[in-house]
Amino acid sequence: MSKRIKNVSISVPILYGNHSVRLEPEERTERTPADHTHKWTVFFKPVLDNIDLTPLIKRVTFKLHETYENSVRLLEKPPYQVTETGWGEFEVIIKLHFHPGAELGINEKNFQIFHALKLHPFNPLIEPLPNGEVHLVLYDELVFQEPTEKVFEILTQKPSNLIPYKLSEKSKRFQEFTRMDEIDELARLDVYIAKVKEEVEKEGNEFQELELQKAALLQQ
Amino acid sequence: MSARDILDVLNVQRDELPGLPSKKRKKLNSDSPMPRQTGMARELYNLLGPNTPPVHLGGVSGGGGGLGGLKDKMNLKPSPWTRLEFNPQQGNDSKGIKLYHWVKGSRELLEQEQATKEYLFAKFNTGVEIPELVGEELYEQYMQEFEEKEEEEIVQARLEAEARRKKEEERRKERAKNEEKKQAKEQDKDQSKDEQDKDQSKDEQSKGEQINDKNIEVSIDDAGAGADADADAEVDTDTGAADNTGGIVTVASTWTYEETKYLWDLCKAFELKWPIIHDRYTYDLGRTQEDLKEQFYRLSAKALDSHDAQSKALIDGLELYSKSKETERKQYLENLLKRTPAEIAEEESLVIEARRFELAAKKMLIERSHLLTLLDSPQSSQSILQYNSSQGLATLYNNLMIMDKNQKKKQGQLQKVQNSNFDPVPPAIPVAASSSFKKERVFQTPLQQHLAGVLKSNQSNNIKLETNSIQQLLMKRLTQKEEEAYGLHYHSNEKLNPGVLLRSAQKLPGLQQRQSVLKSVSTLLQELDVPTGGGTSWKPVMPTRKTMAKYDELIRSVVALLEMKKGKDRLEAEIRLIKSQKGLE
Repeated sequence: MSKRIKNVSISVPILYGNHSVRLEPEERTERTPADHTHKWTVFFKPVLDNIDLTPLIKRVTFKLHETYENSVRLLEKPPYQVTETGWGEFEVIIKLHFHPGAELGINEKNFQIFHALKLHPFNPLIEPLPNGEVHLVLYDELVFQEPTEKVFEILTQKPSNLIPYKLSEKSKRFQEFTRMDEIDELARLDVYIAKVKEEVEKEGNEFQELELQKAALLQQ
Repeated sequence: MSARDILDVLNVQRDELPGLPSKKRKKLNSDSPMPRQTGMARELYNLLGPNTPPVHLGGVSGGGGGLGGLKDKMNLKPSPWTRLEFNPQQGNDSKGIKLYHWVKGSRELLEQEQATKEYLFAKFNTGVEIPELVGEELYEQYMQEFEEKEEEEIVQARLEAEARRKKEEERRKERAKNEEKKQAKEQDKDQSKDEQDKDQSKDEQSKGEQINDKNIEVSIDDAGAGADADADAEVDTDTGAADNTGGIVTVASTWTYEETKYLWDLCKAFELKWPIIHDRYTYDLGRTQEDLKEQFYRLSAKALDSHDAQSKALIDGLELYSKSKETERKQYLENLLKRTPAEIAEEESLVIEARRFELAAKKMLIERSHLLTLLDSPQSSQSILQYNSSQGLATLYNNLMIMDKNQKKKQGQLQKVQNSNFDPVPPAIPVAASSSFKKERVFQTPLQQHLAGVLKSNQSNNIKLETNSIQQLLMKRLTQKEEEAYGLHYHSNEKLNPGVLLRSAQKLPGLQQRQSVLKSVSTLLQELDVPTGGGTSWKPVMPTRKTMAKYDELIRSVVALLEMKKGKDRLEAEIRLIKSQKGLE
């Protein structure tokens, strides 16, 4: 089961990031430090809700800033998320612990994802919301290169890459990723590539001209 | 100007021949009936020189004096033509007809000839040999015999008709039975599915039978129609017979010796040209052509029979004549001629339909044979448990392969046999066409092929796997798109580092650059108005495999652009250097 399948990769699209909202006075408890201004949630999850990664992932740890009590938060089962209050932004280390043991055959090292917590509006394109809501959701894919047969088995139980074509809600424009986003991005990249290619051609022509010039100069 | 003169002008010496040709010419001239040549002819003739003319020029030159030839002909005395009476008949029986024709020659000579010789074309004037009419006594005897025969025939025909009727009834009963059976089968269909499956095969068979039945029915109908017509004809004759106690007998008895003689005379006169005989027959206007023929044939057969046995074939031929058949045939022909266009069209369509039925039957046969070849595979009598493990699967696969080979061999032989016989036996379908085989071969993506390879190597290493996920996946027979849905990708020749990573951090070839290069890449992108968001870590917002590949392409092209720019800069510097060296600046 721990044999790796050569030349094959299998990927699982995931989302990670954080939601943040201004801390309302009524939400404060006795234990909430007075200088905390935001309430945030940092999370990690597969893009599709019906995908269960527990056969693969034993636990997920979120390493918060050292100033937090129990700065490493352990989560044995989904939802993998930590909600805290705070006042400052820092880098959260999301660590995926795969099930260990050679006999199980997953045989993957623990994997870290670094996430820079955002509490304040960072995207000028998004209108700031009155309650100071901030969402930073990042799309990525966990790529298992040359997976073991066990991993292959787990990940081929269900198709995990069926990213929807439509947003579930219009308001979640910046919290969800759709197939259309991918298509848009591809189109955008194509435009960029075309631009660069054009530039390359221009430079090439100039280069040739200069070469001719040089040859002419040398002949004089 | 002769050839000699030309030779003279050209200064050609032809000393060895001068005398000879002139002599020859003299000879020729002396021999020819027209020695004198004048005008152009002479000039042309002279141009020939000492050579002998390639063609006889006498005629040519004679053509020049064509008028003279014509005159000669005119002067010739024409041979005499005489209008002579002649006798076309062999012998001297002219039957009082006088015929004349123009013959070349003088009258005296020709008349002499005619006395000794027969007319030139007399030998082509042949008649038909007709047996002599028998005497009156014999005639009566023969007629009696004919009557008896006819009576017998009538009885026999009646018996046959009855037998036919019985047969038809039986057939009808059978048909009814078949229909009942079919209905019963249909009722059976409503029962359990297993039975239905069996029934289907049966039904198919019965379908074939049905089609056969149809064909048979068609033929039966044809035969039936014929039989009906026959029966009708027979009924007619029957009624006729009933009306005047053997109608045919009475009809036949009306053939008197006198009338028969009259018929014989006509036959002789018109050389058995029946339409004419019938046309000129005035003794009894009720007689049909067939009546005449029958009377003549049967009597002459008898006559010939009594005379000698050498013309056996002829007698047989004569005795074969059947009046009823002949009238029937003529009736059919008449009907055929009287068909309306609509009827013709209908008949054609019927023929086409019949052909279609035949084709359908043939097709059925072919399909059936295909089915049989398919059924030629082994029965799955054993449980599938033994094939559940991968090893079991391997053995099953091997078994199937061996069987495939065997079948192919068989088919190869079969085909050879077929080719040698040129039989219209339907060809066996190739194994590759069977659905499962095709699917496996054609729809395997590169990834699946790779995985199958992995699976095989595992099996060869005797690694036991209870349930193999790869197998399961392969069983699903995904398409490329579906593979994408599983996030599967086959890296044909990339080197992969085993382990987990984030797509955005994938080590793409374009990103294997020094930090400084990446930095300049990002600044260059910014120059090109590509929103990089600042910094060196600009990546696709949605790093999927596709977007990352595109991103990689972009980065690589930017790197290429950078190289180009660098080269250009270097060149510019060089030019500046040269210029300064040459003191141009």
